[in-house]
Amino acid sequence: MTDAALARLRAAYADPAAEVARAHAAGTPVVGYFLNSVPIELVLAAGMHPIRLTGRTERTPVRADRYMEEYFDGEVRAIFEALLAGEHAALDLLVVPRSAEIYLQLYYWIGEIPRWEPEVALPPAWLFDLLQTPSYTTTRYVIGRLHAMAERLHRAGGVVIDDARLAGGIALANRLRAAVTAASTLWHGEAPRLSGADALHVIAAAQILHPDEAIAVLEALVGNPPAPIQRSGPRLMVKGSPQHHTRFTMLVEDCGARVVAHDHIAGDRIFERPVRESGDPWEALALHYQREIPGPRAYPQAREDARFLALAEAAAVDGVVIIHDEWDDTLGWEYPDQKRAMDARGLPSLFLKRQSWFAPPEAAQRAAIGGFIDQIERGRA
Amino acid sequence: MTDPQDKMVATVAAQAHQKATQARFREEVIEGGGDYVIADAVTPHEIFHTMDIPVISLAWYSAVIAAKRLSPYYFDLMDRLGYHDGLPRYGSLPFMTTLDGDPERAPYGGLPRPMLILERLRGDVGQKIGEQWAGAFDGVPLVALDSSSVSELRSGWHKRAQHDWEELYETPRLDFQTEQLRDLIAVTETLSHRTFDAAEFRAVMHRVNRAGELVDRAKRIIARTRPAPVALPEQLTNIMAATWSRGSQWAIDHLEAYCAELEARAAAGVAACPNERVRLLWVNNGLWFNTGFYRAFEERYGAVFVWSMYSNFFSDGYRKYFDDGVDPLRALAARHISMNEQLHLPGWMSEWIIEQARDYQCDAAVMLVPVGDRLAAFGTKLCAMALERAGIPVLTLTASMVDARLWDNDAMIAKVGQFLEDRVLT
Ligand code: SF4
Ligand code: SF4
Repeated sequence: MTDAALARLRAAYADPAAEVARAHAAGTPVVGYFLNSVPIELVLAAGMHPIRLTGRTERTPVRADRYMEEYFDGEVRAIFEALLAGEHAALDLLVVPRSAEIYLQLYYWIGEIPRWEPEVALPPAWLFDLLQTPSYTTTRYVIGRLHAMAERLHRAGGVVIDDARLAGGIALANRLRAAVTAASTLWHGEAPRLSGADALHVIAAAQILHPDEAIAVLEALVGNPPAPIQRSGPRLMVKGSPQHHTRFTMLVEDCGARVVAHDHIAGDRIFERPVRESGDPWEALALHYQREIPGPRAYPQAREDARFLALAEAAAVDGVVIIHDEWDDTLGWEYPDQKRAMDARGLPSLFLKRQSWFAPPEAAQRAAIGGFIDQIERGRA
Repeated sequence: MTDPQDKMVATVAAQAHQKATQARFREEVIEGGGDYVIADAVTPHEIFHTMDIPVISLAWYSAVIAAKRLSPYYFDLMDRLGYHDGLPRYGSLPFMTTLDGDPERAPYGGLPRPMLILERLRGDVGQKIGEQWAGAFDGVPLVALDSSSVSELRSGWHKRAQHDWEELYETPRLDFQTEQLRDLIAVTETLSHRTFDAAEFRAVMHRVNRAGELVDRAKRIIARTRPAPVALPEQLTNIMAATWSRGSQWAIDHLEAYCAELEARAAAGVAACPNERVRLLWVNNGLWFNTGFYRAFEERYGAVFVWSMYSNFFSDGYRKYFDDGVDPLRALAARHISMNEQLHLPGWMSEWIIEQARDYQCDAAVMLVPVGDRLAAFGTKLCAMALERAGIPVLTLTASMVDARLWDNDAMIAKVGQFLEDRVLT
């Protein structure tokens, strides 16, 4: 069954549009969303199917470049190109979270499309104005946004969400979190059974399949896992700008390392913490997305760094590779502090700055990773 | 050929006021150890003005560092400390003066420990820099005003922003922003042992509105008068001095004198460039280290920059009228809640600028696309398209607005000249 489970997860990763079609065929409305900061609990409570959308590298921005400056993240340009091509028109709703400035900009750019290309078929788009400053004032604003989202989901074909339904959505999403966490031992563990690339497939697929199906498939995978991968090489964490695609992780593994942990918003930490199941479910959900998810606007930084280091420790990594997207203007401010913390633990790190998303400098990346692996191995010898 | 105009009396007064403000800062804060606040440019300084607490604006101090040509030194320091060069480092120059800790080098002897640091989290980096900076000052409080986002860019913001702001900016956002301002007042009271005086605050808010009306009056004089009675660098000196001191009686008195002088010059035919043939808009960020550039096309082409975003953003963006029963704090919330967005989000940016082009009788626009500050570069393509669609030719200049070393003045002058010849003077 292992092969079937893994194949199912890989297929969902490769073709999310097929899952949209399947859900529609079953009469379930579909809500597409970006990043790790849209409360799928609400979508599930509304009886809808949430699907996380990402950018694909083959979507070279041609039409998108008419409107978008090259300084946008490569992935966002690819997403915009796909939207201009009508790719997500079938969605019943597209939710854009405000947890990264660049996606907020994307939301406004989507609003510009009808002005310039009125014939483009677009899904209705909605901004989830999530704020993450650690304060009670902000919590109350986020609770208001959750209620606004519930109302918007209802207009998009979802059912009315009461406390009991929301509690049900939270419980289901928490079971999914537990299932992914259980599966993560397959790549964190002492003798990894899944490659770093497959880890990304599993994490992504868990956000594409309906949780009911995802949980079943993940349990099948954990119940009957693949054999340990016969490889040596240092155990590395890939950290930094989002790695929705497996390209860079595969390159690192191809250079002779094992990628056993992923600290970015398509990685391990997005399933790390469950939502509190006692008390008022709206408060619990607000607090979770405001305070407990990783992302560029989450702070205090010391708390985020402690979680990063805990993951590094749990996965027993020998080194950390930080990859920085070409125009990312946020990642790096925290690096001097993180570097000090890693140095204090004797944890080597490599920072690859300004890497192009569409045309990464593969040869230079291989050289840098190769050198880093040598450095780690010399240090161990 | 006429001689270039004399500097306006108002300009001299504005510069003197800036000097006096700095002297006061030195005396009360640096030497006297008094309370002061470091605040982002787009935060509600009005709260501190009301409580008579000096404010150092981040944008202003960064500009002073750049004007004194100290940025290369601090950029090198950033390299050494491990802040990579893909980061938008201009805004963190003031933070670097603290890490550097050399009062001999930093402008005005460097910034002493503030009472608090206030950031508005528009992009994703404010809290990251703010936290580290607060730490470098031995843990001063960091207050981060979170930045809620409007769900719909309703058209005509510049017409609705003064009276109709409740609907324009959306009620839940205004509720939240007002709450954040109350929190900020409470923190400031605790730290300063002063009390926020509601009556004084109301007066400050009315004075800002009055100053905004005067900026609008200045706009009308400049917009209708050909040739323009004032050059762009002088416009900016006068308006920016009033902006930083908004809410003071000085700002009102100054702007009244500025308007009177503009009117007198218009009546007497005194002009920035008497041979004015073409009027231009300067779109997007200013070229603070080289304001002479704005005037480089007058002699040869009679081409005069008459407008930049700072010419009348004060009147269109800052004025927030409120009825007697309304909490003026809500009007203050409305002032900053979408400030950068009005200047940079495509729909809002272009509709405003197109209208300014018509009001100021402009023939074309030159737009700066800053390198190394992508937040300020976003939207420039769509804005240029919208201007062209409205019949306004646009030249885009991509350049660093911070680092004078990276500015090729001759090449830029040639580009604008070519644009004028090819697309404007035909
Ligand atoms: S070109 Fe204009 S500014 Fe220059 S000397 Fe002649 S009138 Fe004066
Ligand atoms: S011009 Fe734009 S980028 Fe610069 S301070 Fe103003 S709003 Fe910010």
